[in-house]
Amino acid sequence: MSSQRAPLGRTGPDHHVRRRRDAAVQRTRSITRTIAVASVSAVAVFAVYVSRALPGHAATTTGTTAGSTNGVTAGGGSSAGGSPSNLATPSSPPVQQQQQQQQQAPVVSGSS
Amino acid sequence: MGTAVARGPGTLAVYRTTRWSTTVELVVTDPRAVAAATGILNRQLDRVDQVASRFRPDSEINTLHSAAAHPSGWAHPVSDDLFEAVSLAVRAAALSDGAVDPTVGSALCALGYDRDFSALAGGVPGRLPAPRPVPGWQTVVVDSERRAIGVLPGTVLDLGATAKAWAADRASAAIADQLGCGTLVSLGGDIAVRNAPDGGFTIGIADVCGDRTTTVQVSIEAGGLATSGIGRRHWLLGGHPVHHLVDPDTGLPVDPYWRTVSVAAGSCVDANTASTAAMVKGVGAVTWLEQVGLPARLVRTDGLTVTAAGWPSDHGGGPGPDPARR
Repeated sequence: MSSQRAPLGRTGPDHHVRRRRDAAVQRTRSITRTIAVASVSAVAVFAVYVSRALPGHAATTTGTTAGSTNGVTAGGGSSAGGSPSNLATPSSPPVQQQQQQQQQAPVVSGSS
Repeated sequence: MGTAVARGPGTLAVYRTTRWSTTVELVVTDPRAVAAATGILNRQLDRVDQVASRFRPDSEINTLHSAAAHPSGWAHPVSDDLFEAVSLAVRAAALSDGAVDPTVGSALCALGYDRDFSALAGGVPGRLPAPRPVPGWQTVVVDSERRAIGVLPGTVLDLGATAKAWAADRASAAIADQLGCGTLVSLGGDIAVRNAPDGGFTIGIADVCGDRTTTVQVSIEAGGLATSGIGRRHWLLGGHPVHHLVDPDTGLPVDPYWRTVSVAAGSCVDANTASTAAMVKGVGAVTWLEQVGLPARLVRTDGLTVTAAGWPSDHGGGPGPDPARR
């Protein structure tokens, strides 16, 4: 089975069919492009929403904000009030009070 | 209601009161500074209570809990004080390998500790819940740029292991800075020291076993000292004895290996972090304390006393025996 085409530049019923077909293809292409762009945008917006809605599942470094680009850490935290990487040791250890020096201590740790 | 006891010119002045169901003690080296120091102390305690109390419906931390009920789980901007309090709690968790976890609040509520401790004296109805891990400190979002905190819906933060010690650090620093005197603040035995006199402040270290309390005395010149134990904060849940030190892995009270652990550190927060962590870590605590270099005195449930990382033995000699080697 074969089809016959009208010569280029010639007007007639086939020419109008081709123009309508080309126009329809163009519209389809445009709609497809729009759908593709909208889909990508929607996925991006959804991803941002999910990442913020479930922040606790984005574990990062511990005890420091290092590695965090925006200052947000899950379970990390700032260094407020102390070194983020270690517990502070005392400048000197406690000193035992000798028996002859003992008098009633004004304060007791562990009694309440 | 407090009392002020001045021990004469040139000696220590002591102020005592009760707060948060525990004893608050303030010692200053200048008796003339007692009134002003007391005012500073009470303002600091008021602020910490307003920010971090689980038992006040209007506290900022409870507002944060309510906000977290929204399923979006967004981090919410908070005051600088709450941000610091939660940051310190998360830091304590990280530095204790998760032994001191601020997300134990729901577990404590399930054990009946959902009210001021004084209200637990007669016991509470209920039954011991099934073992279940707490949400975990890693789920707490700390946004340092927005000064915002986020927790998952249903998470209740309990800052008990750090907030009281933080209050002691804040109060002692404020008093020493503003009044220039030597200062010791003790909140239920969580002790912070600034500008100590020569020889340091003398502190009794109590070991509570039933109705019997034994005490040894040490002195410290700076930083903090804290004692954790099961001797005081315990109650009955449906007739079953429970206490406030929760194992994050089970959400249940720690099966105690130690009766009492006292730790000295550069701050009261760090001392209390370490003493609480040691209670949770159990037999591994001595090795861990040696690794982090914090002097400690540990009393096992059978009464054996062990010292670590430079804490003097009770008899003035070197460190005591390591139970892991016995």
